[in-house]
Amino acid sequence: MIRTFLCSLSISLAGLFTQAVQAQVKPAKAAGDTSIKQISADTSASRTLIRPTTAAPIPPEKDSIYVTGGGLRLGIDISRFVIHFFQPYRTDVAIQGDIRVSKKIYAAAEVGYNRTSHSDSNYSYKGNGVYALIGADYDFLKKKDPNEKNMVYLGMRYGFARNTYEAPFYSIRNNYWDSEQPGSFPKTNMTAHWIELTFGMRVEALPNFFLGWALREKIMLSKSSPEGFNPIVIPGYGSGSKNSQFDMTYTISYYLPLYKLRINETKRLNKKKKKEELK
Amino acid sequence: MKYISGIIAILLLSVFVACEDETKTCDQALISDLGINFKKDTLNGYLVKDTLWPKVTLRAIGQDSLLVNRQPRSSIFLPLDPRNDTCRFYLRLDSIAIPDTLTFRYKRNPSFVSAGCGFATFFSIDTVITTYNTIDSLHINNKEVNSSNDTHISLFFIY
Repeated sequence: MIRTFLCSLSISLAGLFTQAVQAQVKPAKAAGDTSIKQISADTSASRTLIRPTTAAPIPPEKDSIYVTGGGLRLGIDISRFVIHFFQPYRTDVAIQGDIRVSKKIYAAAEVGYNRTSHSDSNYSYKGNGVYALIGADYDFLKKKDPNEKNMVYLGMRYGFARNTYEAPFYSIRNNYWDSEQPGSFPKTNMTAHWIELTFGMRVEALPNFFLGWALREKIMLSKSSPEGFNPIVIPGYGSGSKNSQFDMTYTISYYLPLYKLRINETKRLNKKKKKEELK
Repeated sequence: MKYISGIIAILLLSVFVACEDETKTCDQALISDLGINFKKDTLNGYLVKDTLWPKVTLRAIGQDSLLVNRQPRSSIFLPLDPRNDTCRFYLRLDSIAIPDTLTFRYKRNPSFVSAGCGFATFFSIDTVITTYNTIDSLHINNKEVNSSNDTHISLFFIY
């Protein structure tokens, strides 16, 4: 268990690092190209020294309000299909969506379905359920171009799941008493509530076509499963007996540009200006 | 092309996260066994120490096979009868000691342990009755016998 976790953690950090490096390369190049312009900016500064009266009254507010694209990004989580390959008893489908609310904040939601089915000589288990996640992402990628849609984000989600499960057959064997007792657990309904903390990236690989991954830490708040019969899988959460769960998603999504978002940066620029003045 | 290394890392990671098939392994050796440890009581309860008996013999009354056969033990684990609400055990602590009988009354709850272990009978102890031939006193620490390997009962001896 611990070895698996450490291994996955190290690989995730390695993956994260490579991705971060790649993300850094692009803006760095752009900065390299504009380096000449920066020098010209310096020369303009010297020009302002010559003509201070004309440059000073032009306020930066005019440029600080701009219009950029807003839209809905809809995607499917393909890591769920990989899970099915390693845990054949699990079948999951997850659809993610997010919309841009402001410059850095995205409202995010996810819905999904899980079916769990397992059968061996000791017991059989059937379960299915749905879940929903709702929350927000904060994009902290500094953008050179205001229309750039790539994002590196931290997010938080509230999760809710409803699950129906049963054990149509089980058998309890006891070697010492030489007994074998068959039985069954009837259909049980349960609900679960949890919080997810996420860190991830969404990168525009083709126009309007995104690839994204995310690391998730899920913390169970409450679940209503009866004592003595926890579900094997809680939809959207994972193992039914654990109080916290680490997960990883990989999403392919498509961006629908639906509306224009007016971004007013007057406040931010004014703050910046004040800071500079204080210096 | 830029993201290929990233994609490979992610796929590898998802493999490591996902590769645990929980139905394949049962990580618990003792499922719902009742644990008993032995305590030596000197100075009227002021000094209690763990103790080891040199030749412990244990079997359930009504069963022929022995659970422990003349072995040195400081603790024992009893499988309670999953077919009845009561069961009795024969416990002889030393070859020269007079044997004791432990009687248990309990409620049985079939429970799901884990995906790998399947189901087991958990017990909720109601009453424990013992003879006091070698045993001086008995203390119930935990009434719930489930998959946590607990010490449910302490037996105290004065010698």
